[in-house]
Amino acid sequence: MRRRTFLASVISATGGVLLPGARRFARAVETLQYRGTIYATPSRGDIVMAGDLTRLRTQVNDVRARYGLAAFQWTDPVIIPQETIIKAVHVQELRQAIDDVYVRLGRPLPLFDALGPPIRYRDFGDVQNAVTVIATQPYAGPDVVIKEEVFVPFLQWYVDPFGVTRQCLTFTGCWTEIHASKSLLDQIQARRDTTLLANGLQQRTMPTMRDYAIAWGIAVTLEAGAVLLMAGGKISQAGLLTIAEGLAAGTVGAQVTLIAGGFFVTLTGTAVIALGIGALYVVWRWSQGPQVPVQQQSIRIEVSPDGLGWDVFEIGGW
Amino acid sequence: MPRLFVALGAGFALALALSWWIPAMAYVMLAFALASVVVALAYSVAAWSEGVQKIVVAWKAAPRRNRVIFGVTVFVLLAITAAALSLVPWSRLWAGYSAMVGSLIQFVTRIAPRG
Repeated sequence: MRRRTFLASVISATGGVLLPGARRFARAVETLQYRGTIYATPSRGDIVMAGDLTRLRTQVNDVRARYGLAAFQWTDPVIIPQETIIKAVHVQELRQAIDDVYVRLGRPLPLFDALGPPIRYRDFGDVQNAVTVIATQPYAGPDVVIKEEVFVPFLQWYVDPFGVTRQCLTFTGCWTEIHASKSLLDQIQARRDTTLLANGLQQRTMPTMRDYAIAWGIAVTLEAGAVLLMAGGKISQAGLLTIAEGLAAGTVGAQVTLIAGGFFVTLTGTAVIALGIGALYVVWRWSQGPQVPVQQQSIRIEVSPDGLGWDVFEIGGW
Repeated sequence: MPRLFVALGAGFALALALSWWIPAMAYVMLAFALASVVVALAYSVAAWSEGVQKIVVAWKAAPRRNRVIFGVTVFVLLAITAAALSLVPWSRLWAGYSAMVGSLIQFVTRIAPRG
């Protein structure tokens, strides 16, 4: 397309005077010298080459694979330069194959010109444009959803119990089982910057003041748990001793009173011990980092490979 | 005014000189807290053990009538307690507690959201 436009602009600018040969050449490019079933003297770079068709087929199949469609079965699967005869069905198949992707994504179908003869470079260019539109889009739909262990050290968005959307960062990242499309995972894992981001987080080994604050919080929580455990133990002990006293008491009234009182005091001590264990549980849970049920929440992964902007991937949600 | 600067400089130098205290104190506190938990667990178990031992001794020394009264009373108390505890919505309490803990953890481990 660009070659044709360039040639046409040069020819029109010069009025066809300086480049009469080029004008004929451009017309030849325009019609692609398609006569019947054979190319007449193809010249490299000016007309559709075997490589163009092969490359376009590969691109189309890549896009199809990305969206979970089977590879298209092409007529003349192997294009041999200067030997395979180009046919209208080759272009029709390309159009059909890319149309399938558009249908899959629920997008309006690309508009193609009526097909020749002659077959023109533009016919290929149109297919190329349709492929580019899809290939450069962020991933846009469900395809083969798989379950895979992936390293997710990135920014996590989640909805907390109060319904507030929050963004959090795990300390070192985590291996998480997620449901996502294979192609999306490939797309993410193929990006070097995501790994760099993960490494950048993992390399944060120097403790900061924030870490000391966290250590302080953990220590205080543990200490509270220890105090509760000791207090609960002491209360329970008093209750149990009261029960023993009741067992040895002389009258029925004293027995029942002491046993019942001791029983409930012991129960209270046990509850206090349970509170202490709860504090220990908080610390243990804390040490596990943020636990987000990622299978249910969609995760957004944001990467900025070149500092020019943020690409956003979304995992989950379907 | 110069005194103010001298005081500021001295304070800054002092803070710098003592800055190693912050991590040291953090680690000491953590170690102390961990040790406290171990001690508290041991203490709690020991307290229970002592109380139960006292009950066993009293049981052995008690006459039959006292043992019967003890058994009946404890059985009734257990029944009352079980009935009362069964009225508590434990699952909802647990859900609320774990949600609280979860949001607490998320809160202390998050970075500032960008809005």
